[in-house]
Amino acid sequence: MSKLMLTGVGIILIFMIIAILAPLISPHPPNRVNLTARLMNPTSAYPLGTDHLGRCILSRTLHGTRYTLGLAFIVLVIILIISTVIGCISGYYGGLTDETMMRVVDIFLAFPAIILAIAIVGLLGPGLINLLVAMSFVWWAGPSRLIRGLVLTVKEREFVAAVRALGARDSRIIFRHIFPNILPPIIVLLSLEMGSIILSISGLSFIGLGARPPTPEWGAMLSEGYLYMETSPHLMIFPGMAITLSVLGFNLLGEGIRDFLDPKGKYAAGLSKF
Amino acid sequence: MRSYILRRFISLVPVLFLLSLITFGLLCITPGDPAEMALSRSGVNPTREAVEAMKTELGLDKPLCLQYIHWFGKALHGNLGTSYRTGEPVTQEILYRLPATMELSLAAIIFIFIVAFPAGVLSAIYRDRLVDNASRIAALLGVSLPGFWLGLILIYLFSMKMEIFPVIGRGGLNHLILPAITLGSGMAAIYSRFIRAGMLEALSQDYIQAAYARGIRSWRVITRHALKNALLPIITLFGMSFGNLLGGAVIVETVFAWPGVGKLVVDSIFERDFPVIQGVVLFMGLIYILTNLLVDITYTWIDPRVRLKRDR
Amino acid sequence: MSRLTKTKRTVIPCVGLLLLLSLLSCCNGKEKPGASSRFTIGVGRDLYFGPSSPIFLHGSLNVWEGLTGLDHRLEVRPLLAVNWEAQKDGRLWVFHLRKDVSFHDGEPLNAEVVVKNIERMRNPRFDLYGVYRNVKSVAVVDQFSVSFLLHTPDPVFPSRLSYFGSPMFSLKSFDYKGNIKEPLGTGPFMLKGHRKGESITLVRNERYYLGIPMLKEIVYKYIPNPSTRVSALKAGEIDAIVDIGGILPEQVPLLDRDGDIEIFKQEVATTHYLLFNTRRLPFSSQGLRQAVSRTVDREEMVQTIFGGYALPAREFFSPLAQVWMSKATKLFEGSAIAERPTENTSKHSQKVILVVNAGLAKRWPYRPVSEVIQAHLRDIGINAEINMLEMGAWKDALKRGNFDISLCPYTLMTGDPDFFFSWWMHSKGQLNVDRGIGYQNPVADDLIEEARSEMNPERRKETYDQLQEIIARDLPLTPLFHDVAIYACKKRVQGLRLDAFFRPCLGETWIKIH
Repeated sequence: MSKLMLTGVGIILIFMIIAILAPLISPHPPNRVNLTARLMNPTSAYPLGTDHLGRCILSRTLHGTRYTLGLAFIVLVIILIISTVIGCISGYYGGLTDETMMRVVDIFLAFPAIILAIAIVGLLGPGLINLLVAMSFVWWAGPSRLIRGLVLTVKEREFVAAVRALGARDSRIIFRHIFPNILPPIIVLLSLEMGSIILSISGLSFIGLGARPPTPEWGAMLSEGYLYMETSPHLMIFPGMAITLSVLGFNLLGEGIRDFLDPKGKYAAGLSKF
Repeated sequence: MRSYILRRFISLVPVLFLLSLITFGLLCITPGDPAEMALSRSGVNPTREAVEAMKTELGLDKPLCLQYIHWFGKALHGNLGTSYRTGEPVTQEILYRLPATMELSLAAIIFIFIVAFPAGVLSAIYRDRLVDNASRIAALLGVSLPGFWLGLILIYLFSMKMEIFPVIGRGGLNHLILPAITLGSGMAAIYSRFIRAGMLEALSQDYIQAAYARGIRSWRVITRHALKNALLPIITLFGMSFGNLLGGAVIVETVFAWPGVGKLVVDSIFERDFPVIQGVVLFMGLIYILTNLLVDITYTWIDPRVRLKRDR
Repeated sequence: MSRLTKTKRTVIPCVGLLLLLSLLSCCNGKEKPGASSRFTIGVGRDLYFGPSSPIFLHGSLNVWEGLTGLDHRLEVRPLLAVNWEAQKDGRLWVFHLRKDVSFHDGEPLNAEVVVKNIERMRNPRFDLYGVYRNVKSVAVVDQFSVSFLLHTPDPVFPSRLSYFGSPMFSLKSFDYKGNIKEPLGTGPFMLKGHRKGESITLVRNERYYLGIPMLKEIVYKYIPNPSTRVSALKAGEIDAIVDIGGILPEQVPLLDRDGDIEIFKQEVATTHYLLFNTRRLPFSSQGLRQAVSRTVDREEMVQTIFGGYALPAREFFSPLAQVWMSKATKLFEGSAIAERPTENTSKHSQKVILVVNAGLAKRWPYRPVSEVIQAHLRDIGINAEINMLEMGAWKDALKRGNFDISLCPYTLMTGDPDFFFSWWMHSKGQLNVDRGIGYQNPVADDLIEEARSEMNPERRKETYDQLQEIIARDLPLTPLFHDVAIYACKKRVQGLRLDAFFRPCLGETWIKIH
């Protein structure tokens, strides 16, 4: 493992520990309103200061790890499931099924994802569930095409033909023989998307289409904080740094994986949707 | 070549049709009454009679499928309907905002090239040296920064504290700099890595080595031979990232109050201006597809060895 | 092969030029605008509404005017109409017009034009708050007098015609459908240009009947982000911020520090309410509604969240309408603020949904308010979940009753209590129904209908006193704050004032030249 990758793994591990221990290491409850201590600069009681409702920014940022990273992880799992199913069916059966599915994929790729995501959450109303729906809705297409490609290559391998000759059913071939072979690259490739997913989630929350108050989601904290930008910049600086750091962690990891798989660096670093 | 282009154009139609159908479907399940939204813009609560009259005026009292057919029929003739909010033609609304978005995207592209070319070329030449490592870390940071946050930080530092750049809206070049940097930073990071990779590959080719051997000065080798090779993946990337640029413009326009298409669509979504949402969706899809087509064509033009692979 | 080098050769000078130009334009940016009598105002919302709207432009722009207006005590005063009288027990109203008024295109204002405008406004699509539902016919009396025949007597008909109630446009302004092509009003300023989503430019009306305005040109800039709006004022990119919600209370200290900026406040006729869904548990319980109303500490919120720029509300509608204030509000006050919840309320430990309109939260601090209310409710054992919905979804949720409590502003546009009670308290009142309150009280319904056409002022006042008592007890909704608009301008700007409907008097504004 390279130094970069180790740093990445280190950052991710720290964030995971923070997510688990958030309630223990936070100096205050994240949602406790204290109107007598509004918009305070960092002090010993509030190491990162307080927001417009006198809530501790450190505690909220620490708790935010759970929401932002947790959400990104759930989105990742959903995308994984959807795109695997579609990619497998499309790649395995080929023909008209494949053609139709790839046309639909084209349509989804033919569109700036963020606009579609904004449209969906904007129309369905903000909230974590709708955010998940929108993110999955706009994100499945790319990975599906990728997985389809993987299935196509595995399908040509001899053992598949052998199993088929033995008379195994299609579903069995897909799930018992093809799927295990493509799973490792899928996981690696999708984990490269993690950074972009975090950025998209916080971006949607930032324009008011994500987490509901008082959820201490980082993007939502930023959108509350930017009204006070000039007087109290610390409201937006710390959640923003948390987002950057966590995305950096995943990008470092991805960069490391990429170096390993593809030393010449042919693939782009996580093409951000924002 | 011509028949290829023609075929690509024809294949646009079903894509755009489905795109509009998806958008329309989304609009149908949307809560909120566009007629009421249009009327309450002035801040008063309209009466039920007013809302009903507005619905009739906008044709919202008809069955949904009829509404769609009606809209689609007109769209085929290039008429995207009129905005619920302002009562003005949607095409006019979009065309009015388009220059602003184009200006911003263009500025971002210029920024990307100013940053990415030197960074990419230098880090390829000085591979694994300080320049390379520094640019690598900068690139990683660049893709990790949330665009909206970077925008806010730039506003805070350069507009509010140092008062170098104006804070609002569109105007001269100085209005353009901060939004362009915000929009371009992530992409510049990616491009610089791509250029580096392309350069490295080119530099390792035999003919480059041969050129060196012939005694051609190294910067000439780099500019004349290596860069051309590095350019090829950039064009593909450009096609891929144009959509991202348009998408990114939505957030940047919101942060900087930039009166472009992105801001138009966000405002329209919040105010349930269905015809404008439909129009922008179609329009952006069209631009995106056309850009990709253009990229494919340029690709074959620069490097005739490449067959039109995308033509399945 | 040389293709690339060619690009490079062009790129380098381009970059140089770009940098040079940006430097140059930076220098330009430092130059203070507004040295002439061009005046730039920043606002947080787009005041351009377009042809499908009854008014084309917001009233704040001073382009069009109504027949009457309301003063700071929400009492009706002459504007395009000089005086008026009621006949036939208030069923017939005759308005006499000013004789010296002309539209921006030079056409004179007379009875015929007014009648045509009123006919246009009678189209339900333009009659936004239903002023003309009660109008049976409108007719020319003489060249400068117009009569309105009503279905039922209306003691405050002139108030209803104020401001948005009767915008007057030249007949050349609108087409056969009534859609405005060009807003040719009578106001002190005329529309010169409009850049969609950016700005509106006005020039002064040299023919204005109250005297030529001192400002030659006004530019309204639409700046949605509050922070950038204030920065723009400090940097001199704009001369003033004048709109309700234009400056957040938190930003006042920041502007205060700037020696070149003056801050003003103006009480306006907008009141913010906490709405209850009375159709379902738990807020079908009157006791619980009272408990919540008592628990919410208005004073504290005004001091902290609003920084003092709001009035804690003890009255159900704007206290600017002094004549209509009653002792009932005292009754509400007595039971309201101080008392803490009693034991029996804390057994209602349940989950409720507090729905907040994200669109409104951009103009008022609804988000912190709702979070404070959430905290207060927790004290009395109610666990409130905040649900931020944007405008369309919010209206939908309330209409369907998918909420327990919500926040909502309301402006007393006619300055008359009927405008509150008919909309919010009557069983069929549109906002009572559409905002999902679902309050039903036949006694109140009768009183509201009676008061609406009661021509005797004393009896009318008594009825409204009674209604205020009923509503203070039943609390289908409870008032939280009366709005105070904050506005600010550069010190050299003189005479800029707002009325109770946050409309600036641009005709009387001028810029002092050193």
